[in-house]
Amino acid sequence: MPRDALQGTLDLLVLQTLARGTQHGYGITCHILAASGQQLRVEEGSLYPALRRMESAGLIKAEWKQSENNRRARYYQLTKKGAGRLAQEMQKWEQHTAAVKSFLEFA
Amino acid sequence: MLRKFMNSLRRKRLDEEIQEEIEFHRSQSSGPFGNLTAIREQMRDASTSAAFESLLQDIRYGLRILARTPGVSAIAILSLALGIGANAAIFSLVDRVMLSFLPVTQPEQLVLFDEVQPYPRFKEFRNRSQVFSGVAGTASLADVAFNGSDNPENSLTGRLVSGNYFDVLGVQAMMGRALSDVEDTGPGAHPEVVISYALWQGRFHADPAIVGKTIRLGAGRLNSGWGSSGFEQDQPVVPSNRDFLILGVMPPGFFGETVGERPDFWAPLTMEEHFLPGRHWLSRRTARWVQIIARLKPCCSVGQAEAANNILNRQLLVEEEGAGLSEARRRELEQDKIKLLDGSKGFSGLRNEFAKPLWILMAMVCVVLLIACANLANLLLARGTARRREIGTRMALGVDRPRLVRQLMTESFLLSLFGAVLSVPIGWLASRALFTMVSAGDPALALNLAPDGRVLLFTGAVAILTTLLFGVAPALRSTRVDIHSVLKESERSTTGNRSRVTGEKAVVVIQVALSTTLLFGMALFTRTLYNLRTQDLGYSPERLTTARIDPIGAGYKGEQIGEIAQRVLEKLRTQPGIVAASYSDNGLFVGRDSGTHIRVNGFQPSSPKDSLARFDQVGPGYFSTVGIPLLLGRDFADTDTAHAPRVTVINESMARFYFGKRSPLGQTIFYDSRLKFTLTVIGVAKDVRDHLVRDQPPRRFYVSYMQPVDGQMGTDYEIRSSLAPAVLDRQIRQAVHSASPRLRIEYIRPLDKSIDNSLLRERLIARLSILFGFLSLLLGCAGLFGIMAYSVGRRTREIGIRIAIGGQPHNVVWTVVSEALLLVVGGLLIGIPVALLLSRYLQSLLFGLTPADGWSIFAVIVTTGLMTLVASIIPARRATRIDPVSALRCE
Repeated sequence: MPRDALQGTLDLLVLQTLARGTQHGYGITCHILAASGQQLRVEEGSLYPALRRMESAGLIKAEWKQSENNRRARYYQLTKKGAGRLAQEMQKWEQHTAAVKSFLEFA
Repeated sequence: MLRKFMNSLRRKRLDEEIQEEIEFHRSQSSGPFGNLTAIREQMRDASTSAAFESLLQDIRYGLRILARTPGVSAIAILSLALGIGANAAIFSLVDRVMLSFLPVTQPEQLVLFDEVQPYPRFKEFRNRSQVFSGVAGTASLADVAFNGSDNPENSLTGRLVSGNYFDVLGVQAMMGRALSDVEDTGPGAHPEVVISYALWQGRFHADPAIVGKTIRLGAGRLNSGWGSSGFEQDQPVVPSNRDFLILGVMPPGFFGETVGERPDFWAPLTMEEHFLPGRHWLSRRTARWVQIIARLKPCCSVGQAEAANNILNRQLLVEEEGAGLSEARRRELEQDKIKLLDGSKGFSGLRNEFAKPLWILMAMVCVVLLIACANLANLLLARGTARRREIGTRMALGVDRPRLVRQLMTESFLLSLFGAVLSVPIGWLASRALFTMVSAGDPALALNLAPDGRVLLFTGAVAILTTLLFGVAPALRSTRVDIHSVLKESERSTTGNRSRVTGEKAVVVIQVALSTTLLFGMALFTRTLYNLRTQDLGYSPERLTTARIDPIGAGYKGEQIGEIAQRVLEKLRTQPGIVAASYSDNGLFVGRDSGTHIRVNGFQPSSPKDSLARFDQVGPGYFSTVGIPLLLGRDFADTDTAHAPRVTVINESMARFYFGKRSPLGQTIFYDSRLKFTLTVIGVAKDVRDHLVRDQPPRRFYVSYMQPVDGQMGTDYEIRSSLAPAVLDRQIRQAVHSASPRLRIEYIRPLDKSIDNSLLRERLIARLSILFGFLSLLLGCAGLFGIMAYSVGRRTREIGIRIAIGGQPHNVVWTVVSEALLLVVGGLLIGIPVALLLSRYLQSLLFGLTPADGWSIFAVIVTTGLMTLVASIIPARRATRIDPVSALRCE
């Protein structure tokens, strides 16, 4: 898959995670890992720059808060614009997989 | 986007946050984290804007470069600030005086009558005009007594306006209401005013319940010498104070239609009798005092309106003359045309007089800025050369040229930015100082000169333009380097790369050419002022003081005016230290003059202009007091009383024009206005300049104050005395007071001061052109010095060799000086023809010289030559001190 599509997938995962509530970077990796049945491991080297990029684009916003174990952590939260983007990305993903699926079935 | 800029600005904080976030993650997970540095970089890049980032980098680097040579940077910034500030100062005057529209609705529809009109005629225009949607009248008042106080410090300025004035302008009151048509009914029936925002804020402390309260106002005087009182004075008057009802407060920016005036209040024209007691101008058909402002109907052009207006004007004039109008008079009336002036920018005496000078000054100040730009360009060129290695190295390391050009331009913009910021206060102070000079006359003018959006915009635009002018060429040239040769080249090559200095030299030549034009202008204007100041008036203005009293305002009328004038004169003459004294109606050099049509038997006028002559009504001993020699006949005598036959003294020009070689003595002149008199010539006086220095003395006749042909407006005393001004002032006040305590003194002023005031425009131009001239010299000197010092530096080795093989110091000096001279001669050869070409446009402002004045050219050449010597002598002497041994060894 082209790089754009890969990045799109990461964005989709992150946005979907944040749709459930605010979360810090580490929490996001944990959730994606757990929710995908230990299948999808997001690398820190991709996640953190992606978070920064989405923040600059206004899809998410960040806030320093106290974490469960009393350390300062940067919590991310979905913005209205981000929620819109999430819906868009989900639709795109479904179209994409449906297209691939129908291709495979045809063959 | 904004967030990215913010992050770029708080970079350190961003790095810390990124670090903390990563640390938190690592504290939670035990796994490896990948390439930390790369991740950090990526996070930072995602959070900031790359373009902004590199701009910030350029700015930081630029600041560092500027700080590395603080002295040079400071001089560069200061010269820019002066240049831009001077431009902003002149511009803000030009803007306020000539470009700003009146703060009223649809100012482009407003027109002004070019001449003041009598009140009855104004009413006819208002009622009968078809081409205007509204016609309003107004007159300016000064020195209106406030709160019953006689102290002139405490007086107010105001405006008499017709009730529809605010309607015609389309301006509403901020509080309460403006005047309306109701206030036009009945003379003296409406003691009501609208006050200005400033007066409300100041004297009334912004009282929110001001509407409905009263303000106590006394008499004042008409602001300007336009009025003419008509002849008869019938009813006795006593000036008094009266309470005026405050109807409303006008909004802050509103000043009426006259640029340069800030009235404190507006009262109905129908209250004229209260403010100008004894004049009865509301009913006089001969007293011209009402300024008319009208709003065109949307369908009419100015041309159509003017034509229609003149038809109406002729109709009115013919109606006023009544039956029995002679054919000659009818033809004369045909000549009386009213021009409609564009009223969108308001009425301004300043504009008429200062438009051309201000544009010329604007041009001069632009040239000063250009010269400053040239200096900066040279500075940057030199700096660019000094940085060749640095720039070459950076290019070798892979920085592309546009990036470098951007870097260098950023440095230039930084210089301009600092210069522009500094120029705002400089410009404001300068424009205020300038305006103080312009408005020094009587009455003082007021303009709000605080820098506003327009001036700031102008300053910004000039700064940007400036940067492009001085920055682009050096930035392009400094980056056009051949990497290989630069990196190999040593700092000091034998003879330098001569071609590389030609850019700088060309700039210096242009600079000299520019300053030549300025110096030429300066020479022309200073010589003009000198010629005017030393112009022979026909009498000596020294030790002559003038003082004006207002007998009409004090309630005197008819023959009483002559009597009180005489009584004051007698008191003055008894004061010790007063050598001689007399009086006249119009005074000397105060901008007041009278003229009329006359007829002379045996003289056939070829045009209506030929029958025009100026006149004045003078007291006894006028000629001997002022020092005007009588060439023929006699002065007025005590026997020439009100009931004796009317007599006149005429000046040389008048005698020559009407009588030629005949003796005028005993001849008669018919004073031919609405009132007709026969005057017998008893004497001929020498031509003198008594109102304008510039003009040739016009035809003029004098009549005795005791036999007035026109109503006296006031009495202007001419007093010859060597007393100190303060002492004389006290004695004059004492004399006037002892003659009548009711008399008000309008001013006491040495004649020199009045003459100076009449030369205000010339003084302004001369002073500023001197300032700009010297500024350009200074800048030119600095520029030339810089290039010469640089050139000597580059030729150290060459000069060292010459000294080593026996070159004499004076030869070395000459080498350097001749190089400078060559540049300057080049500049002069371009500059002088350009200056001569431009100076033709100055013709109307010059006096006693032609625009191609030889002395001025000579002065320019000498001054520029001196500048060359001053600028090149230090580098030349430094060259002679070069030690040949170290010069040759330092390779």
